[in-house]
Amino acid sequence: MAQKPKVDPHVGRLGYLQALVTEFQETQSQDAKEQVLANLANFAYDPANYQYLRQLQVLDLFLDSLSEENETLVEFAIGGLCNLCADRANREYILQAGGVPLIVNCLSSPSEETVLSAVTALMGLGSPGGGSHPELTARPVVQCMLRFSLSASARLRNLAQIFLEDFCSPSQVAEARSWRADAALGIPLPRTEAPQQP
Amino acid sequence: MDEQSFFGGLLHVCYAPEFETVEETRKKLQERNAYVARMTKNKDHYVTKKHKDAKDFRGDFHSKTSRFPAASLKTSTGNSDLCLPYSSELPLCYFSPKCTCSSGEDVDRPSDSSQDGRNSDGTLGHCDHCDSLQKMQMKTSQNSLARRGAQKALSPSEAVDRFMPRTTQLQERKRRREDDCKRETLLEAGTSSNEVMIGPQLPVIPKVDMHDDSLNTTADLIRNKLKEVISSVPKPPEDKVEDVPRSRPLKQRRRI
Repeated sequence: MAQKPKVDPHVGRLGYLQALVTEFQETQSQDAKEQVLANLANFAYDPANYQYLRQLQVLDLFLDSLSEENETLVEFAIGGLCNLCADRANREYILQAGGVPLIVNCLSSPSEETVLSAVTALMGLGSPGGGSHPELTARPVVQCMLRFSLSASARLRNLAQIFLEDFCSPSQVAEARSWRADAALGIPLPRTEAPQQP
Repeated sequence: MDEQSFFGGLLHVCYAPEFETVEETRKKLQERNAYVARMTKNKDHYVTKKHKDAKDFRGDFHSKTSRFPAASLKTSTGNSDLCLPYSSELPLCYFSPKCTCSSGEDVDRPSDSSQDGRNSDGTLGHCDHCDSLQKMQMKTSQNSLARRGAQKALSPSEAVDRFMPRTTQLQERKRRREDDCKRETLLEAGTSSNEVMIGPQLPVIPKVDMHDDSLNTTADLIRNKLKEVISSVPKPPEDKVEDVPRSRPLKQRRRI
């Protein structure tokens, strides 16, 4: 491939990000899509890019990509959202765009990194000490976090614990813990302490 | 890995989230939020000023003094001219107006740099990452500069106008969102029906051909019974469940 890139060196940050977004939309190559999304997710870490990312609707692009079949794209998209959630304007946008259910779905992913990013993103969208969006502290979510708090993965355990302590009220946690504790469905919660990890 | 010998020296590991305590993780997240709040607050002042200046500005650029190189932008005539760096595996030329281009630029660089950005030790996209990811990000953006001549470019407003969200996907997402809302409404109305399960699922029992009609019939009956039980109230089923020959699930979900 001998094409010369036709990009002006004077193009600023917005143009660069625009080029990435355009490529993501136009390319047929899965590998290229993954690389572009990885870069966008990394750029989403820097607050300097936030206004451009909002302008280019990259938040929607990330939310969109959560429904992709390709697990790698989902992982990178939720990673990008996790990075973005630290900012208040981004948070508002994601909440209004109905991002919570999409992110909650990622809690069921087989990829640990996706789950970690999803938990962190939910915390980013919430308000510590109460006042979180009701979808964030819905019973299935709290139950899921209770199970995660018993995980063998230290990272997941820590994040889940912080979620339960800082973003859920004690009554929400107690209710989730006691709800259908004897159910055959899912993994029953232990009555006493967490089991010893191997 | 920390303090391990490596080619005559010692490795010093400074990022190991699996060894953090809950408090350390909490503190890290709080610091991240504080940092972003600080940066966006400062940026609001900067951007307001920049918008005033950029309107009169054409054809010039700054690389050293300004964090955001001012754009010298012309109308683009067609979208086919826009570079697709990852598809064509050619590096981009951004940010550094003083870089010179050479035709012998390594075509693998963008792949490598984005590979770095993607595979940086699991640091992608997680707000646990602090300096390592920021450095990686800057490296990704700066190292992928090609040394090329001036090309066509976009004006900021046209850049925005040309971007069209993928309508099909957005519609699909909207449809799913509506479905989820409906499902939630149903859930709130009657929680005795199927409850939404979030998080790791029990492995799905795959259909196995027992190579015998009667065995297959029995297996199907048992499978259907299990489905019935799983979807109904939480009364553990009786004998038949224990008799199920559970084969290894095809796709293991992460277990706690």
